Amino acid sequence: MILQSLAAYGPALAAGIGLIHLFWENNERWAILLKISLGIGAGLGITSCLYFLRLLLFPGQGGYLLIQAGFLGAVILALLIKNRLSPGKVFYRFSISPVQVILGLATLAVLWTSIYYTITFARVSPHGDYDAQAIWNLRARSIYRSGDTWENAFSPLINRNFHMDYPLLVPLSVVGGWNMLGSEVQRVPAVLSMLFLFGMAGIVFSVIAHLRTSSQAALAVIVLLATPSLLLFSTFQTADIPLTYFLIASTSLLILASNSNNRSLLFLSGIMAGLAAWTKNEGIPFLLVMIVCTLFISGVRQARTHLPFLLAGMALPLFTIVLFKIFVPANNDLFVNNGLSEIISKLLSPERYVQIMTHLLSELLQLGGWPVSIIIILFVYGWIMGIRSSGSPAEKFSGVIPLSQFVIYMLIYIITPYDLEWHINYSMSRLLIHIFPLALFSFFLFVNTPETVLNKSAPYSQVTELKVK
Amino acid sequence: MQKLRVIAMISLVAFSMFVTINNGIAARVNWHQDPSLQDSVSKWEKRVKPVLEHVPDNIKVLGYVADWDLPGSKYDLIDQDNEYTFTQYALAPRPVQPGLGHEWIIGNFTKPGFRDWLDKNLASYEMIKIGFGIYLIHRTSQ
Repeated sequence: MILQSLAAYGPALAAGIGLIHLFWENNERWAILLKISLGIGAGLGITSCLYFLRLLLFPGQGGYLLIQAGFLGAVILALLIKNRLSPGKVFYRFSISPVQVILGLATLAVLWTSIYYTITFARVSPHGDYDAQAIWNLRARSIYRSGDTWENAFSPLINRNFHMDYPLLVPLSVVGGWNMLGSEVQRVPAVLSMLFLFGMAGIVFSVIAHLRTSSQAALAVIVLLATPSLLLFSTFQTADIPLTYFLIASTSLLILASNSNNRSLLFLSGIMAGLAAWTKNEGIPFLLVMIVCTLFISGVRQARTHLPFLLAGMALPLFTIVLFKIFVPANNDLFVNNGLSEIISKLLSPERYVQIMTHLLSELLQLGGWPVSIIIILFVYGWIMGIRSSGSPAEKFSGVIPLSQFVIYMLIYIITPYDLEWHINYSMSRLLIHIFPLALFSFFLFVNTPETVLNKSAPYSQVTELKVK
Repeated sequence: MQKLRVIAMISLVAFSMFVTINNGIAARVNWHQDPSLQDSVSKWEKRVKPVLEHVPDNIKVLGYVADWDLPGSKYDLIDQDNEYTFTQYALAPRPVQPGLGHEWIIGNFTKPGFRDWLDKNLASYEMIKIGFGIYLIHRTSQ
C-alpha cells in the first residue's frame, strides 16, 4: 500500500524535479540530490494549487491524474525547448576519507531506522494524531466523500474547532492520492509525511555538502533524523513537517541564489516560501521574513532586480491562497474576539512574557525529545569545534531566518485570544519543531567541519573527479 | 584541542546513534503489536458508523450530546473532546454539531442519568441503542 500510494504521486514528483532542473542547470552530484529533494515539495505543492483551481473552475473533483500529467507534460516541453533533457556533464566526486566512510555508514543506519520508524507508525496509527483527525485528514475526507458537492466540506455548519481557514496543500494532496487510487487508502497521508521528512533530510544533506563538506552534511542529517520528536511528528500526518520542509527549502535556495547570484534560484525560493503559506498559516509571516531577508542580503540597489524574482515565485501559491480565503471567508481564530485594544494591553502585560519565557525554557531543554537537552549538547559541541570565520553574507544571514520565525511565534503567544497556559501547552513543542531543522541547518553552516578539525588542507584534496557524459 | 574536538565529534555521533537505537526499539515494539488493538480511531469508527444505517440520506447535519452535557456529571474533558472529534471524523462530510438542536442526534453516554436529562430537554423522541454507549436519538413531533 505504501508503494502504491507513492506511485500515485509519481507524475507530480517527476514534474517537480523537472521544474527545478528547468530553472537551475547544475549536474553536480549534490545538485542532483537537491533537485530530487526540492522536486518533492515543488511537485506536490504546485499540483495542489492547480488542483484547487480546477475544483473552483469545473464541476466534480476528478482529474488529479490529468493535472499531474499536464504539469509533467508542460515541464517536459519546456525542458525540450530549453534543451535541458540531455544528460549533460555529470560530475562525480568521490571523497574517500575514513571519516566520511564512517559518517556515511552512520547516516545510512539513521536513515534506515527512521524509514522503519515511519513505516511502523503508519501501520499502527494509520489516522495520525489528533490534529490530523480534527483538521488535515478530516478536511481531506470531507472533500473526497462529498464527491461533486465538495464545497460542502467547507460548510459553515462544521464546528469552528475544526479550523476551516487552514490552507489546503496537505488535504488536497491526500484527496488527489485517493482519487488516483480510487478509494480512501489509509497509507496516503502517511506517505505524504514520509516524502516531506526525507525530502527535508535530502535538502539539508545536499546543501551542507555543497557549502561545507559531506562529513558536515552527514553529521547534520544524523542529528536531524535521530531527533525523536521530529520522527514522531512525521507520523502525525499533520502539516507541520511539510511546513518545516518548505521553510528549509526556501532558505536553502535563497542562500544558493545569493552565493551564485542566480535569480532563477531566487524564483524557486519564492515558490517554496509561497507553498509554505499554502501549507499552514504559519507560512504567511515566513513570506514576509523571506522578503525582508532578500532585501537585506541583496542590498537596496540589487533588490530592485532580485526581489521581483522572489515575488514572481510566490505568485501562484499566493494567488491560490487569496482565492481560498475568498472561497472560505472564515476568520483566523487568533484574531476573532481579539481587538486592537486587547492586543495592545496583552503586549504591555509583563506577566505574559514571564509565563511564555518560563515555558519556553522548559520546552527548549526538552526540544526534540532527546534524553539530554540537544541545545546544551550542540552548544558544547559548537564551543569545542569552533565557529567558522568565513561564509557568504547569505550564509551568515541564515540564522536570522529561524530566529525571525521564532520571534513571530512568541509574539503570537503574547497576543493570543486563548488561555495562554492552554495555548502554550497545546502548541509550543510543535512550533519549535518547525524551527528546529532550520536552526540545525544554520548551526552546521556556522560550526567548523570535521575536515577542518582533522587538519585536512582542503575538503576535496583527495578528490577524484570523474566527468561522465 | 584537536583531541577534544575529535572526542566531541565521536560523542555527538555516538549519542545520536544511541538515540537512533532507542527510536528503532520503540518502532520494533510497535511493529509486533496488533495494529487493530492500537488504532483507537478505527475502533471508534466501527462503533459510530452504524448510526448512518438509521439516518435518512437527506439528513445533512447531526447533533451530538455526551456525558459532558449532563449536569453534575464527572468526565475527562480530553476523552470527551477526542470522542467528539473522532465522531466528526468518522461521519464526515456530515457536520456533527454539539447540542440537541437537530432532528437526529448522536448520544455518547456512559453515565446512567442521561435518560432523565433527555426526558427533561426533549418533548418527544425515539432512541436506538447502537452499542458501546452510542445511541441515535430521533426527535419526533408529539
